[in-house]
Amino acid sequence: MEQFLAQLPQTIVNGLTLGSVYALIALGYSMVYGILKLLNFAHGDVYMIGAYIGYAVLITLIPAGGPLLPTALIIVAMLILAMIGCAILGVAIERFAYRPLRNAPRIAPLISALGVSFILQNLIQLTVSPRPLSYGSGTLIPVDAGITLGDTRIHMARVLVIGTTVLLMIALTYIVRGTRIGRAMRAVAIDLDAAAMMGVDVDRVIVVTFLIGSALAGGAGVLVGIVFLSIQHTMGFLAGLKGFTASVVGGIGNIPGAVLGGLLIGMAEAFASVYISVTFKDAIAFVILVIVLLIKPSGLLGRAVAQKV
Amino acid sequence: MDTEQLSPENLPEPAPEDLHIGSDEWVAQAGRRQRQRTGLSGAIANRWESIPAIWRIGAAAILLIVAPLVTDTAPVLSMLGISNNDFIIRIGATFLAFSILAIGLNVVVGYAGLLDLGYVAFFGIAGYAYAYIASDFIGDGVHVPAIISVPLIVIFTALVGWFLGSLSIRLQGDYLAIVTLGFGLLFFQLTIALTRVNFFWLDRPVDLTRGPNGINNLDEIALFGYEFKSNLEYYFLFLVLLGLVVLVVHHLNQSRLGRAWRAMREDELAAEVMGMPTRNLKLLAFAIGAAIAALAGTVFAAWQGNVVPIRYNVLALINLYAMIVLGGLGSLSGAVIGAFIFTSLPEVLRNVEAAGFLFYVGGLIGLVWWLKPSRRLVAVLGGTIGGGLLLKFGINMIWPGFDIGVVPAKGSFLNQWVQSWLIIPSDFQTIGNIAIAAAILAVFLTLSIKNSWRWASLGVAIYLLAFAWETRLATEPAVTRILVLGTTLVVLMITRPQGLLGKLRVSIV
Repeated sequence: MEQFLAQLPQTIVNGLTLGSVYALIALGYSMVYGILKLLNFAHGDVYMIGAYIGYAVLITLIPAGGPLLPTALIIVAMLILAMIGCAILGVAIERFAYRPLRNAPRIAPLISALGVSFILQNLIQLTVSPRPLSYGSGTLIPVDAGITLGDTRIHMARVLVIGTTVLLMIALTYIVRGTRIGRAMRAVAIDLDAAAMMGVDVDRVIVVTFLIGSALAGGAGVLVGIVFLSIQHTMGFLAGLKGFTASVVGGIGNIPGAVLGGLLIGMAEAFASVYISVTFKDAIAFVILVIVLLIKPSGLLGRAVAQKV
Repeated sequence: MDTEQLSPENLPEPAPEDLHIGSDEWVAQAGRRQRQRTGLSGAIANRWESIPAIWRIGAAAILLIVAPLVTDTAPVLSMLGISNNDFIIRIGATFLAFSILAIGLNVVVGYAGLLDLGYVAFFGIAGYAYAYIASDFIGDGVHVPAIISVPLIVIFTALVGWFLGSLSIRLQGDYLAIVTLGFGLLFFQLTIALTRVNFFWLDRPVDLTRGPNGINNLDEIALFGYEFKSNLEYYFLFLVLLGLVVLVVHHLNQSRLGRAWRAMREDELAAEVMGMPTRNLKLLAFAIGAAIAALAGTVFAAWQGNVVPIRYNVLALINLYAMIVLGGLGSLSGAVIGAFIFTSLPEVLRNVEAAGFLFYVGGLIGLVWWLKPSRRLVAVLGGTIGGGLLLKFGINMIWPGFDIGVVPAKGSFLNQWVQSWLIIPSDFQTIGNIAIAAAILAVFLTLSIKNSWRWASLGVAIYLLAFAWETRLATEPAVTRILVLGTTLVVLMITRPQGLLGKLRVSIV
């Protein structure tokens, strides 16, 4: 019990960090599903590409001689460039792999998404490196930087991840709730055909959805690199599946639900690896998925949809 | 619904046999439109389909029986450049095992229309069940003879399928896919994680799965005193099982049950209103799919002599889905053909020479298929080849020494030709990487530009792809295999979402 209490604060911080990342990935899944009813299995690999773009910016701005800019600016540059790069990638994927299949059988875009996922992973393996790359411990954020809350010391990188995630969520909430395009997105999510008849440019809404979702995933990739340092071409697979799990647990298509699901999965994973066994870290997300879906099939915050005839 | 104009005036008079009372005109004419297949491929397809089914199946069976004997002869071996037939037999047995699996998945997805993404777990459950009752793993070793263990495991896995199905059955469409994917992933993760499980009645933790290394030294299948040992024996065992499964599934599909599945797949609500027990129909589909997976899984585990978690991961699931989708959902022969393509293609691509041949010839066929034999095709090909030669000549004039003129991939006569066309700089690794990115960009441009610049962009794309192939892709067969797989899936879905042998379903909204 004493040991339990001693590890509790650090575990919660770890859970929040992981949860923030999963929530960012889950948002992309959830938004795309909400509008297109498409399970975008290439989303995890967009996140992976984000981490690699961040790495490329990092080694460009910090050559052997020393950093060219203050590290805070470098982190901002990494985040922004990764988000822009991933947004372009996401839009390109939508344009070439999903749009031609808008009216095809349901399974076709699923298979196409898996194909895109294979292509992205193996292109990185071929052209960059099959080995993990490292963001470098202490290059961006000094190893001892951090803030102290009571007895717990929180590393600066974790503060950065949680803070950035909160900022991105606020921005997203503003876009969805407060802008014209956000209103169009909500309209298309409720009924695509009706929105199209009311004069909403559905194609444009879909492009914007992919753009935002992929940008969030790209940001998540950079944040993971900053906290966990090591990135690899296969990292998108499991992270994507967990982000997807998070969005389903929260209620797919539901934005606050995706955040809730992400935090839940992150917390569960942190607690499982400390209090059960490290080997259960990856299994716990799917245990939660199965349990939640069997009890409440539409997810925690999802609304049950009546079958239309 | 199709957007073509169907006013009563311009509608051709339908033939009497195509008219069915109460069905949509367009649907009623689907049969006739299908017969109007044109061109060489259409003629071949029509000819093939006019042969009675029994002859077609018989021919395929004889082909599969004779194949291992043919590949054992010297001329075939020397043509394929290998010394041992065992390699081919191994691929053949894998192909047959995956055919069985693909057919089982086809029952669930193709016939009943349930998107089951946890199918591989049944394959794995059967494998692990076999490992428990036919190896030294438990206690001093449990060795149940195959004649009992195989049916037992098939029934057990079918029950597991029924149980998991009954848990998830009330979920519709995508949620069913998601929760079954959850089951599948959970199975995979648990096989890795369950190495130290505490049971309250035991004083020390038990290793249930031996983690990522899996369980080794499984018994061989032995039936009536005959023990299956070699790859060839397992090849024929799988062939017999495949025949059995095809027979059973074919007749199931022709029966009341198959008709009920089709009705449920097309419109579940309507089927239910007509009095069909949709819940039991779904569970039956799950159970039959699981049983077929179990049959393949047990024999596969016995053949390999081990069970390892990695065999049952999502990649295996994707491979299976690729097979049935490529072949066409709901088509038995399609599933087998899909299994053949996706088990043999990666092996062929291991061989640099064969892969290069496939790359160029496949690319040429694709180009002809897209542009049709036309002046444009000649212009694109001529322009690309001529432009490449000109570029090479120019570079050699301006900057002698930049072009080392030797492609890194060793291989056939094709490489000789390509060498005299491509510029190969000395730092081909880095430039090859850039060329891959540039080639992808060029392909995207080709697909999105609408005016005549499109064809110029296509020429550039072909040149860059050939360059990327020779410098990077051909020398990294492991990566290239998966890249080719991924590209095939995307291109196939975009050009022919119903698969090679599938029939495009008319959806009436």
